[in-house]
Amino acid sequence: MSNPNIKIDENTKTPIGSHKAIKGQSPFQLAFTRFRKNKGALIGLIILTLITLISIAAPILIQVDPSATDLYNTSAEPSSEKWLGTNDAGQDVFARLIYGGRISLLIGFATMMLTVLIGGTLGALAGYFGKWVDMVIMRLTDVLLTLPTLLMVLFLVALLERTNEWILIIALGCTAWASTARIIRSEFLSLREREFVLGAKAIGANDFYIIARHMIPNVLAPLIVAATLLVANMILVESALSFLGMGVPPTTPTWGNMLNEALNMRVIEEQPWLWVPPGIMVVLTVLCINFIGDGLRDAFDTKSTRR
Amino acid sequence: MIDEKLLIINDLKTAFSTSMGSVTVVDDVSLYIKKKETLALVGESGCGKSMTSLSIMQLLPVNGKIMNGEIIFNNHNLVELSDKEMSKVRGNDIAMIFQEPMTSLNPVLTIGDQITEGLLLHRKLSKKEAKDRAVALLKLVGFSRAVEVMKEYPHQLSGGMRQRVMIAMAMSVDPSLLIADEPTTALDVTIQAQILELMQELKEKFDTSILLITHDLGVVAEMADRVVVMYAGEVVEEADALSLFEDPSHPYTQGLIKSVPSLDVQQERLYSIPGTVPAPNEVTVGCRFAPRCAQAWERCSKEKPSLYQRKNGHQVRCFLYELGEGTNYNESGATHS
Repeated sequence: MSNPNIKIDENTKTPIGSHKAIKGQSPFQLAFTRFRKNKGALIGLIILTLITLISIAAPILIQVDPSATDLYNTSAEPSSEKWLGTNDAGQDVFARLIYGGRISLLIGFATMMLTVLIGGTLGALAGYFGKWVDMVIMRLTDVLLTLPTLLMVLFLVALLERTNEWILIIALGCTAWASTARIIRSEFLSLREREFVLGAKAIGANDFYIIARHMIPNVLAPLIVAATLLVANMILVESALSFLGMGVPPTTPTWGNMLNEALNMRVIEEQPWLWVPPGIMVVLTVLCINFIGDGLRDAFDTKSTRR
Repeated sequence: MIDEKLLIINDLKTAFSTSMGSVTVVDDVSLYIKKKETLALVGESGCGKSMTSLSIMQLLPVNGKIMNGEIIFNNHNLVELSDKEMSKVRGNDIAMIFQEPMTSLNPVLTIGDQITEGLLLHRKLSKKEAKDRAVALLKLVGFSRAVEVMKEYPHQLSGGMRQRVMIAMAMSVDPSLLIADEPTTALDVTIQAQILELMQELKEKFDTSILLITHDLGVVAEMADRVVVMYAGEVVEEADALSLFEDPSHPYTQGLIKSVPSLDVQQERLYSIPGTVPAPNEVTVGCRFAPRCAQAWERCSKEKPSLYQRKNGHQVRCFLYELGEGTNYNESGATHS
């Protein structure tokens, strides 16, 4: 008779309201359920998945070498054979468009991961330990935030005197982590004061155990949202860099360096098939990712549960 | 003595460094807990009772520091232990339950993950063994659907259920001392009684000592063997529970007991002690309670009373009891000064 309310639960088989319906759902599963109801985000996810799959499968889908030049067939108009014509080096624009997605998406996702790794770690350390650790890391982010990422990368690329996608990824990752670090730090600052962290300490857990097991899972929601939007941002930065001719060298097609060809006034006016498709792809991809990011933010935001 | 002392605190002084300088929140507190005993630490908000418990656990906020004193637990002075040694004591020999069951569980981990945590950290159990033990513990604290609850998340449980989970977590490692910081304050009254009953049951089953921190004299009456009353960082009275309620000696304790609503006595308005607690950074010369005390005379604001002994270990920090046994409130006290 020591626990009357629990016993009633058992006998009447009516445990606390809709308990059965939401059984075992983690906050992430709940968020996913909400995400699925968001049409814009879902469409964005579908289109992005398609673009990603097509890009990955490019060597299977496209038999033409995107870098092969055909000097007898330069600046050709779109035809049934060359769907988007050729550029002034006689390269197949459609093949370049499909292959270009590989590099753009690779740079977007790889940079995001690197950024999240660096920014997440530094932000977590700063927020958890505070004091001088916080001081040092935050001054570093302040410095990075005052310098535009694009300029920093341009500077790094100029310094190295050469570029490829991996150099770009590292350069972008090392310069773009500041905002992620700030987000994670501020989340950690408030999490640190939560009672369950004190509780974990009272259990005898050490600092790194608490960070890894108790705190990081709690910042995953804002981290995922920030990371998603970072992918979009990084794709744009890559396009801008390649457009300026400081990104991936033109031998490897990317959406950015395809746009680079539109630097020519004649191309803009007379050969829209050279620059409109990569432009659309960049806009479409970034738009999809932003929709997904917004959807994730709404899904994770517990205040929107009451909708 | 047959009653072995599990924890002895001697002259503990804990201070916070703030922008206004060092603020002492626990001032020369001495107390002890015997094995299998429940000691209640009573006082209003901000009197330093929680800080005393966090000092024991060495979990003070970053700007807090133990300035002086010793905390002897199982013949080790906890104040002198390194962080690493201390983390072997925490959640192993001493476990803690917090006030707010809503926030003291991690929202993104399952109940099972959290209950097995202490077992996996301190006992060299396999995941399977830890899980079995966790299920047994959940059953012990009153969950009939223990196996399912293991896979659930805190948001799926009510406040009372979460506090049961907290208790199961704390007891999982079979600690010799359980510190319960206002374990029932955030719960409604009917659940309170159940939780207290559960703690009492487990205490007897596991032979645990309990340091119960509370401002609720009802809880004290229900649970405590002995009581330490704190006011503004100091111990003002210490007695076994029975004598405290029968013969409350310090004017502050008398005030506390008077301010508990009673069904037996017809009252127009509930009694409240006049005035407010002094701010911790206020420098006081005499008795800290003097400004609020109806029985204070001039000596009280000039000199600090020490703890005076009465019978059976009953101690009171008040000049009224300076002459020892038999003295009680009398106006002639003024002539002694």
